[in-house]
Amino acid sequence: MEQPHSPLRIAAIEENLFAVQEFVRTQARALGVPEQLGLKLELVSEELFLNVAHHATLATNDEVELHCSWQAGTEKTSPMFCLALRDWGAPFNPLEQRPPDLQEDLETRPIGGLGIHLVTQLADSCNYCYDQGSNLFIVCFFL
Amino acid sequence: MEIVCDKRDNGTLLQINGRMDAVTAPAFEKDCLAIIDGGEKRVVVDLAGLEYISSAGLRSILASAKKAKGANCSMRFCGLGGMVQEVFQVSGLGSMFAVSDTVDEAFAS
Repeated sequence: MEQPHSPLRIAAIEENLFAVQEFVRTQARALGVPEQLGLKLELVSEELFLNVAHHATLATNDEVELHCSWQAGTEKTSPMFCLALRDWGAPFNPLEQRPPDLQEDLETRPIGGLGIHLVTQLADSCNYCYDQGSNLFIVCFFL
Repeated sequence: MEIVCDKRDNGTLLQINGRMDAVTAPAFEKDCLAIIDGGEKRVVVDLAGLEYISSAGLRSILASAKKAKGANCSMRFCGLGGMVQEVFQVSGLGSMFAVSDTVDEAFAS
C-alpha cells in the first residue's frame, strides 16, 4: 500500500452518511482517482456504512473507521483505489450473505437485500476479515 | 432529489432528478403510493435527471411497483443512463420492469 491518508472515525448513524461520502470523495480526489469513478465510490460508501449503521451489533464501540488508500500496480495489474471500513460489532461477514435471486418476479422478490450485492458487482475486489476484535471490509477499484 | 409530477390524460409522469439515496428515497415511495391510492392506472417514471441511486432507491422502487401491481396500475420506467442504468442492470430491475428510452415511448407502450 502507498502512504496511508488519515482515517475517519465517525458514529455509525444514518445522519452521518453525507459526511462519510464527503470524506471518501475528498480522499479519492486527493489520491488522483478519476472523476468517473466517483458515483460508484459514493454508492459503495453508502451501502457499507449503512449496513453497519442499520444492522451491526455494536457492543464496545459505536463508531466506524474509514480509510482510503492507493495501491500501486504491477507490470500485470493496474493500480487500485481501496476503501477500508472497520466496525467493532459482532463478527459478521457480508460476503457470506446469500445473493439475491435476480430471476424472481415482482410478486415474490424481496424489496431489500441488494446493498452488498451492488457492492460486489460494482467493485473490482471485496475482502472481509475479523481482525483485532473488529470487522474489516476492504473494497477496491482498478484505476 | 426533486420529484416533478405531471398528470396527463393517459397517466401520470414522475420526473426524478438528483440523487435517490437512503435519505431521499422514502419521498419517492410516498409520492408513488399517493398516486396509486388516488386510482391512477398508469405511472411513467422518468429517470433521465437522476444521477445517483443506491439500494435504498431500488427498495423504494420495488415497494412502489409491488403496490402498483396490486392495484392494477402499470408502472414503467424510462431515461436510464450512466450509473443508474448500471445499477438497474446488476440488480435485475432492468429486466424485471418495462424500460423505455423516452417518455413518449413509455406512454405508448
